[in-house]
Amino acid sequence: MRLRIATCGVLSLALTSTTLPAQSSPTAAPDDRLDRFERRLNDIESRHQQDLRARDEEIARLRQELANVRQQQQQQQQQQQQPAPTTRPVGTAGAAAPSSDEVERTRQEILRDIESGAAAPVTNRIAASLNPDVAVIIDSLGTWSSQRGNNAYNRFDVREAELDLRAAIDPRADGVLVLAFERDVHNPPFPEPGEDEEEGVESRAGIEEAYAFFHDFGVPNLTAKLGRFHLRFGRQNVLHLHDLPTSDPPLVNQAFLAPEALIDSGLSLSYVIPPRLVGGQYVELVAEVVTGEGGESESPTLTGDISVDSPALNLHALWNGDLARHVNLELGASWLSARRSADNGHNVNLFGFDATLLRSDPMGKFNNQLLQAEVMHAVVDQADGGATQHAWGAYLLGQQQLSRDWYAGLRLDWTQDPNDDDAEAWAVSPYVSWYLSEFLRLRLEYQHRNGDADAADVVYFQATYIFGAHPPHPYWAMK
Amino acid sequence: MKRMTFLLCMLAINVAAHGQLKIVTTTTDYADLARQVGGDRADVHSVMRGPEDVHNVLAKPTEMVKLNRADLFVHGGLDAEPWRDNLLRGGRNPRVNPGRPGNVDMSAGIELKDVPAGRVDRSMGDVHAYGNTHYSLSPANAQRMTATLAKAMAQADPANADAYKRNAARLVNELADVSREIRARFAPWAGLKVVTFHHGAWDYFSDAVPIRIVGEIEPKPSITPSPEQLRQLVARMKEEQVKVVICGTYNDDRLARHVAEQAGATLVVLPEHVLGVAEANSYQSLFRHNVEKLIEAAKSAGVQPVDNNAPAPAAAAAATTAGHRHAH
Repeated sequence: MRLRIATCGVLSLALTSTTLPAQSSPTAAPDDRLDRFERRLNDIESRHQQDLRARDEEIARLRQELANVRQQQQQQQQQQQQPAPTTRPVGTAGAAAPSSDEVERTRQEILRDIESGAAAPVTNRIAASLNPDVAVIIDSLGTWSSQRGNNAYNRFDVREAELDLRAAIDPRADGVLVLAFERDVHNPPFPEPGEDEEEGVESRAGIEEAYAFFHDFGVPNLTAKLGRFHLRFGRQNVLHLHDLPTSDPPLVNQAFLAPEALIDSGLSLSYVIPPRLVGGQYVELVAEVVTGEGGESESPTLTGDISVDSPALNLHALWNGDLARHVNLELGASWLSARRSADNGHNVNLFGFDATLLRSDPMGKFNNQLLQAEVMHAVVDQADGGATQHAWGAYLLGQQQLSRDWYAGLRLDWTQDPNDDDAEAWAVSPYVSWYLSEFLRLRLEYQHRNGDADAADVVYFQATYIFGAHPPHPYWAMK
Repeated sequence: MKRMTFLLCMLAINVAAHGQLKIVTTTTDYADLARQVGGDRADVHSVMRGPEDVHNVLAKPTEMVKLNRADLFVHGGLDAEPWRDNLLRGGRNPRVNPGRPGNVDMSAGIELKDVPAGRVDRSMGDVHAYGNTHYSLSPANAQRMTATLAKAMAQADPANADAYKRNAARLVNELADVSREIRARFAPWAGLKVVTFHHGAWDYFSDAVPIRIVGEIEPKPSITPSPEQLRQLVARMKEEQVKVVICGTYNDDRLARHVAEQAGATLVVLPEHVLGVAEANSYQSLFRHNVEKLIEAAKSAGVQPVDNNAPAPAAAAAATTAGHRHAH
């Protein structure tokens, strides 16, 4: 451009120069013209420079605008890519701590979020499924005894495998199914003469529990179970075999209720009295109506006769309170009333009283102690026309948690035979349990049994393991 | 939606009728945040006491009584509280059941570490299926939890919503100050190599306080180590010149002390939760306490602090050796 103007200027000058001799004018006239021409050239040059500056400014302005647009686009893209404000980890484990900018940014984000009142952002989780929680529990038991006449001793077997399935049925109810596969030799505290020699290994599969648990159906503090379940009689009857603190159930439970646990089908209602009505205390009332057949529990009292048409009624009341910050006491009372024969002519009434004292370690070091006792009284009509029997039985269990993984305890048993209150049995059972992990436990227990049945010294070795989900257990089980 | 609105209204009416917002929390951490946000307007109860393992808390019926009357149930959301379902079931309080406005999941919005990417089974120990559950050991995460809590409290008690927001904003600012303070305080020991007891327990903490976790005494979550695994750990500590062992208040400190002695390291017992020790009586003091104890342990082990104000070449050298610091 400059070259073109310069060329124009030179040509103009040349043309002007060629015309000068042809003009006959005074000497001053050409100088004026040259001056004017020079001024015009200067004006042209000046305007041109202004145009150039304006154009450069325009280019700079457009460039700036373009940069601004690009920056805005990048910011928008970043905002779209960013999730809702979360606490971004500022580094991995062991990396540098957050910089001041990062602390400030987090602070600002959180403050904005609080002010917005927006719903909390969703945390990404692994994909959920509608499958139930599944757990398989294998409980195996080996025994050694000096008593060779009892076939239940001096053997090792998987005595029970359980398949435990749990899931919500709908917003108001949960479903529970526990299938049990058992292999055991009948070993009651009061065997009939010659009974232990006749029995072999009994294998069976069955429904241990199957019920719908209604936890929210409109009546405050009331829940219900419908189906087949462990009866709420005392403390240990609700436990499955593998959850017991000892290798076998207390003798009184075996003699009065069932070798493993008294199970039956029906409806169970549980009501917690509103705490404000009872001084902030926990008071629970349980009423259960069941078939009264004993549910194949092999109960010595509810004999499992399906000809029994009258239902059984089980009532349980429970109080729980903190005696001190780390000491908890639970007291319970139970009453089970049922018929033993089809003509409703023979009754069984069982009464139970239970107490559980738990002291938890204030320092959280697993130095926990458990003291538990149950006393039962049975009034049992005899189907063979014999006199009604009035029997008593009890156990006392003390357990010390030694560390996270080790427990030691002692159980003392004494019971009469509910069908022959002249017969009695007692036992002393120290034990130690070792949890290799929460899902694998080994237990060693010594038991000295004595009484009207044959005396026996028995060593139990129990191995229990769980794979799958984490089935719930009572608070006092501590594991 | 109508049902949710109805429940919210009922919740608000309930609070209005009783005056104070009744809050039951699983841990002392959430309880402390709730107290700081709620002030006198909230009646807060923690099921956990502080020093114990959150996995082994005893959800007794007396706790269920508290939950029965609660307006809000504040919990960790993941699978660190296996007793939570029993507690909820025993509490018989539909207002705080999962999915209801009164059920507050504090893991909402937290970016979790160690989320399993593939198959999970027990060969990995007592692995957490949703990720590392120890997220409350981070001031940044505490800020997020404060926001979650403040919103839930404002929703349950609209009359005091402004107060909750104000208190929450103050707490968030304080936690930011704590974050800066502990970072600056620990700066001379940045990169301190440690071995921890519980698997993953201090990973979030190391985001806020720049320690370098070299290994864990438990080889896998909640799995007691074998003698051979301990021997290998001690050998590694000696090789990497680790001079500090961190043990939680509920961990087996005899085992931790044995490891520390074998490796020539110093054992420090640190609380993982508010009230884990008496001095850690608030969220802010928990972090200050832990940082001071860590510094004491580092000094006791003979670890020399680095002068961060030193000239550039020296600072560069210090940064280089930060990962190799050891007692002389």
